[in-house]
Amino acid sequence: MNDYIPQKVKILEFYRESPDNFSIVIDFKTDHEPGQFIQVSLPGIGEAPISICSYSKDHMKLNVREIGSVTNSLGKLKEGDEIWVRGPYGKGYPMQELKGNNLLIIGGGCGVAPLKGIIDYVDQNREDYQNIDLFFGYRSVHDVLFRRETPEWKNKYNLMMSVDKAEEGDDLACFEMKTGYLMERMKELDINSENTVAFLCGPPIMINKIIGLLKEKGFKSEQIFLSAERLMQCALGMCGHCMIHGKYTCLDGPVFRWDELENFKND
Amino acid sequence: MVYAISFENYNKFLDSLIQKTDVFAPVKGKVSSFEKLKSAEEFNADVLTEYTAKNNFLKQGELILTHKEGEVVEPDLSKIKEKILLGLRMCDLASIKKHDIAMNNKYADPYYNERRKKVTLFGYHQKQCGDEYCFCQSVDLEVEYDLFFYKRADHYLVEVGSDKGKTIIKDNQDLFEESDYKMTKEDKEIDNQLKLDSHDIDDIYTNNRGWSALVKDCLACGQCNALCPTCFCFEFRDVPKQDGSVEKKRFLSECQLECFSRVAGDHIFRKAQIDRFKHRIYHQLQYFKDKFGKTLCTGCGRCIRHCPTKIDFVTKINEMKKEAKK
Amino acid sequence: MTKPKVGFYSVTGCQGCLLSVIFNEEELLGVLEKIDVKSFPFIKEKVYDGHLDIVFFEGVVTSKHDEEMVKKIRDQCDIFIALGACATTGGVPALRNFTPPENIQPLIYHKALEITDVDPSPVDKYVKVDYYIQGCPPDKKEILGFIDDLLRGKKPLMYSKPVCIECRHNGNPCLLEKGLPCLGPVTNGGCNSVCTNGGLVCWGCRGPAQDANFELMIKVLKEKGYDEKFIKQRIDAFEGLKYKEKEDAKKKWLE
Repeated sequence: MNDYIPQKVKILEFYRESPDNFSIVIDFKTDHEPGQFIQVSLPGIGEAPISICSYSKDHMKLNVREIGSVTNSLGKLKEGDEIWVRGPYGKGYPMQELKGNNLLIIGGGCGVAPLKGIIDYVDQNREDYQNIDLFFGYRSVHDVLFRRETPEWKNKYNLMMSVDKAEEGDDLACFEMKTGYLMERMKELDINSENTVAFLCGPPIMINKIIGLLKEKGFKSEQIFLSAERLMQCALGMCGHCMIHGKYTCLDGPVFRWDELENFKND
Repeated sequence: MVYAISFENYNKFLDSLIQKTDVFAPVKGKVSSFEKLKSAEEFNADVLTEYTAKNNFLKQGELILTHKEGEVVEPDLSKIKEKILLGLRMCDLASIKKHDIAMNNKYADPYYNERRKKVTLFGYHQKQCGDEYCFCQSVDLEVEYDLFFYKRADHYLVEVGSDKGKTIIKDNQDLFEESDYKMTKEDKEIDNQLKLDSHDIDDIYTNNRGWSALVKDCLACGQCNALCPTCFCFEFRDVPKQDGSVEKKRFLSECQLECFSRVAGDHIFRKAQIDRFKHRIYHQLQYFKDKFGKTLCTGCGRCIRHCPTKIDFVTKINEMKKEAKK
Repeated sequence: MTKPKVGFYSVTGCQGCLLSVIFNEEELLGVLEKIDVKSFPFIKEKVYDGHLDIVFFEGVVTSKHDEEMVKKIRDQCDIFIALGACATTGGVPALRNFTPPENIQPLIYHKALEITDVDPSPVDKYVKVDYYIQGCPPDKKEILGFIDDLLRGKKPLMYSKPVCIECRHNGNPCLLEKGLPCLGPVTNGGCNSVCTNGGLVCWGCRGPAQDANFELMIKVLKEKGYDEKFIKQRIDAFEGLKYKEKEDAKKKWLE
């Protein structure tokens, strides 16, 4: 069994979320947990880890930001094109263990993508969880992701969205978006840490600030789960690039409980 | 059961092996490294080689797969040739055992395993093994071998470590004699001048002053990674061919360099040299042990011996440990 | 699909980098099927004057004329690639920066005083450079690799490890360890350590490595018995300007 060998899958749907972000649905049927990722490769371009942003046995949805070689090349594809994938890999969010809790789902920018996997999971297992709060922050109105899904989220859950900066003419009203950094907006809210777990994903600066805020609101490190990003080559727990203080992000992560990481920020 | 072989027979034994298989052993050429032997005389047992034998398992530029005409083609691993590695010191043998563990963590690496399966390992013991940079006695040295040779006044004593080794002895039984000698602890001793007091270094992780004192001499050239027998971190590169196919190849990576932790969007997780330096030392001494119960480092001292500025982290760690105890 | 228009241009320099392109004898015809070469000294007589997709620019800017040329070409193209040591680091011609003008003028310029002179500089002093291909001369395969990547829509990746890495993987003895003034540890690789493979020390033609620690390198060489003047000249040969840039940036940062 050679785990390095990818399989070819078809792109079923391709659509833009924002100028530098798109979603694709691929014909890849596999069991997975929310928060896991797959390795996507394009011959001659390279391979990149991409988080799964859906929860379904029939197909898989990926949300991709065009930031490197592979993602930029992916962005030029269309429906019917083929890509190479292997996976899923890693440990996702421990949804089973956290049954009965309130969920606080906090995401920034393309960090919302893996969190969408959780929302899809919760949709299918709504009775297992109590209150669900979604706090999403984006750079600007043009960077807002998952416009297709947001109206439904707004109906079902407590959704708060903010954009760092707004310009005149920006349509903030549609999702009742607020302006300012997500952390500043969250400060104003009454967040109860009791019987609650927080799921985080986003840029490192934002994550650190929000964790500081959650701590102020009475959260313990054990109540905070976040998805980490590192360079990955093999995703099989060998190549060593994704190591965070001895832990492989590809095997022991990408989702970590905050107490596993908090002392090793530079590692 | 221990066997004995006279020096004369030993040379005959090697020559007969060379006839049948590729034999790689320390050779003192332009630089001491494991080279393919043409005759028994070329074998130079007296040096701890500058280059390790890791390229025989983790081949630089290993072909992982080929994208050809829309399909993926796996390389034919059965083409890999059998070979014998001769004259492996304890540190080099131990590093192979550690790679066995690392490359078969949760998933198995078929390329490494195939190469590993096809190599026969002959260990070689030398009491005065290396120089002032060796500290193998301070770390975990668990080894697997097929045959192990101990040099005596006029013969070698041979220990057998596997069925493969047994078969080799049987095939050459006219050259080996059975010996009733009992190997003692002293026979297996190796003299070290350098000693690492403890490889439990979790408590000095935050000693910034101590680590900075080491890192100020670091040129960030990555030679320590390249020469280390255990450094196994690797990366892939897609190599396009003129015929339109693309080969995915594997190369070793160096954690002392910026590119090791650079992700798309040019964020670098270990930006400061001190974080990279600590990562190497902690991976070698702490992380691997936390995961698999033994240090990754085998104490060969190559990373100090061949460092352009001879950064002696062993002595410094001892100092820092003493400081921490106070 | 229309073939991308590619131009090769050259200002002051030995034009060895352009030869590196031509030395790809076996692959060159295949490459020419995929691109439309609009300008190439030696090969094309006419200098093309129009929009280009990709430009390879060789040479160091030493005169007003060079400066105008590099700016003009940059304006005409989408992707601008600095080719070779001169274009990327200033190379040997930039040594003039480290010598008082009165030492050179009587030797060279007594006949050509009409040249409007500027300090020899790599092209990135005047224009935005998208990619660098380093080396004196650059690796011929690397140039084709860049073209290949760009054709496939991939951002070409610059090799970013010191020379030591390739040198060690090629099984060489360390020349610095032997006491020779090798600049491998502070120099960017990608050259497959071609010099040290042959026993020659690295002069740093590919420019400083990402983490080049020149101060320490100088200290190491001093300990090996080389005097300051010798070391400075060695570094200046290829890396002088970039070293100075680094120093200035550091000074600025400290202030």
